[in-house]
Amino acid sequence: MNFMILNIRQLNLKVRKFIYNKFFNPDIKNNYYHLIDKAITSLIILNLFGMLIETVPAIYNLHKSSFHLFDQISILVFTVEYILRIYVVPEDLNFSNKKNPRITYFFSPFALIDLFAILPFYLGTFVDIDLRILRALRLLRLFKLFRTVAPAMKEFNQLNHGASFRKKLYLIVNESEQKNKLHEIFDFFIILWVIISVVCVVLESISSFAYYFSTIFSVIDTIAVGIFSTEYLIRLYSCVENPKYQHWFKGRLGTAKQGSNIIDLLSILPFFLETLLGHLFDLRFLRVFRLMRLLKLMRYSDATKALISSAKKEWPVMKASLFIMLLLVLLSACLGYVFEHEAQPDKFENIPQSVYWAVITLASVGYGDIVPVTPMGRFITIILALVGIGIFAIPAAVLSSSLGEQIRVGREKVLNDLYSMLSDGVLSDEERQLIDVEAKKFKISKEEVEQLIDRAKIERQKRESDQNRERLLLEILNLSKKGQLDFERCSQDPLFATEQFKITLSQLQQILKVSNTEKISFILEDKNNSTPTQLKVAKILMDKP
Amino acid sequence: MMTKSSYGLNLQDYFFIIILISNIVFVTYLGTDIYHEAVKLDIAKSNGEAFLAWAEELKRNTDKNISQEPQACLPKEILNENNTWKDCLQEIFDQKGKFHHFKNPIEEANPVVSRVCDKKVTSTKGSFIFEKININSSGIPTYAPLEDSEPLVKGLMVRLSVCDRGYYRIIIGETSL
Repeated sequence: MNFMILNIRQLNLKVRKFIYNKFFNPDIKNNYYHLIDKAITSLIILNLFGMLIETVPAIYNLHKSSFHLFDQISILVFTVEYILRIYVVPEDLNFSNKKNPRITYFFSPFALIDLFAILPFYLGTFVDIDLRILRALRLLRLFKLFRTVAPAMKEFNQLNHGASFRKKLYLIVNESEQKNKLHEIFDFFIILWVIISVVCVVLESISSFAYYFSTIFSVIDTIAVGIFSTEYLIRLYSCVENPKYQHWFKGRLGTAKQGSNIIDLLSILPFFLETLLGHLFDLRFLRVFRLMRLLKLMRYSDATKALISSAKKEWPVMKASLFIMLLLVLLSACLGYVFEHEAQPDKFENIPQSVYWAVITLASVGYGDIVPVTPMGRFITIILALVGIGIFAIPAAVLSSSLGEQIRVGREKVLNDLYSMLSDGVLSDEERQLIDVEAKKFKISKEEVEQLIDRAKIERQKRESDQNRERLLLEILNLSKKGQLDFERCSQDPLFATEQFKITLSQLQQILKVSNTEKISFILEDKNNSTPTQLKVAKILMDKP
Repeated sequence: MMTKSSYGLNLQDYFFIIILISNIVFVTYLGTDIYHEAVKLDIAKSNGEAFLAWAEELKRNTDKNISQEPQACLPKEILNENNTWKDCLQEIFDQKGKFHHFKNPIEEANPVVSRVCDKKVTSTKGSFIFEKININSSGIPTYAPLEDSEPLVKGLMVRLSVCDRGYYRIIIGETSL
């Protein structure tokens, strides 16, 4: 009986350890911790959307059972998570040293948040509570997100202990060399809200969506503006931490004038203008400018940054090709007007109208709404179409080659970094993380990174062996200058012995080269004067059979 | 040198936090205002939907020759009397009418029904706009304000919209007599 109890206890410990390590231990690599974390976060966000959509009676009444099912599934997942966390808590190093780990954990802030997230549902099942209060209490689920944010905040504070409040804000909103989880969460949050608000703007243009969801859209838009305006203010306030923008006013003005910050401002401005001045002017068109929020994503896309930097780099060439394009458009529009105006006065009424035809023809679009009818007009069109292919291809070719060059330079940089990191022969975890960040920046895949690491390792080994060989040669040459041979070293170091052997051999070859080989052969063939091995070696060196 | 508080914040930081909070409060204030307007508009929409549902029922019953009230809203073909749109509106939005409880949700003092949604006439905000639908020879519908003197005839097609706070019509639906 005791043996059985012991076995069950051992099994329980094993299962607990297994569950903790597999699903809840953040310190183990390649377990399901991050997956679970992301899944729970996604479920919380879905819950938020569910709660918002539920407020639309037209949809809620139609899909009441689906909403209820989703709510029950969410509660089931959160409950299982809560129970499992309490079950495995003795394995957690933060609680295992406590007298009663489970009770300590139960009263910890995270556990209380988890409990409050599920409690309203069970309370509503057993106690008669107003549905509206229950719905409001469901918002408590959002607090579960703190489980993701809190460790990142702790890590951030540890890394930046002693840094000023403004510096900390700067590090949260801007990319830095420091690996910063809180910055990643901030970026993710902004990207998420950009996507949500843009999707809402697009859906709002569908009349049926606008009709049923107008209230939700207005709530989402207000929240988005609140978030984006806060982000904008933080960026402006903290920018002086950037050495380039240190002056309190000029620095901020310079930051505000940056393209990405102008986009940030334009993405929030329509809300304020429309709300404050909407009753005075017709500002509905400003709503379309909310789509500018999509441009905010440029800040987070390395590919877009690379494209912009390529365009900047190649701007003189692009400018020249744009100038030629403009010249060609105007010239062909003039010629089109001259030759076609009389035949088609309605279509080639004036030069600005002919510009439309010239651009459509030059860009090889050819809608066919305006077609030349005179022989000269057709001739011009042929020339225009042929030249257009080349002219439009120039900027594309310039951009693509510049992008290719940028990627090549990036690869070289990653390779050089790898060489310097491998100087000690080891690639540490931090070094690997830095390389991964660089590789991501230059669009190098994981497989390619592995290949580059292998290449760097092989080249490093080769370089190292070359350096060793050079050092040995120098040593041997110094010894031979003194007329010495280090037999002790030869017996201990095969590499040294090999190099010594090669040098001795080449010295023998040189002796034979400058001597009369026939006479040497004659002398060596005398058995009293040499051993058979000496004769054999001499013959090999003289290339004699 | 700026002095720092026990939280590690200096005067500038506090000033910035105040600006940040003010911004949030301001956006929340504007957002709340927009939300309340949207809720009021939702009331107008559901009122409009109720009207359309009633109009559809009226049409169904008159088609089946079932006697219907109010008679002021019945077409000439059923009643043999020349009712006008004004008669019908007065009847249903009257104190004893079917929709007597309808009020302009945005401004109670504003009329429940207006002829057009016009920025120059601020009282049109939140009111219902009824339009007559005409199908032209190429089958494309055109819309014109439903005049008070419009005689009620069978097949008269009506589009119902509500005038929002920005003086734009939000279409609720269409019905016919």
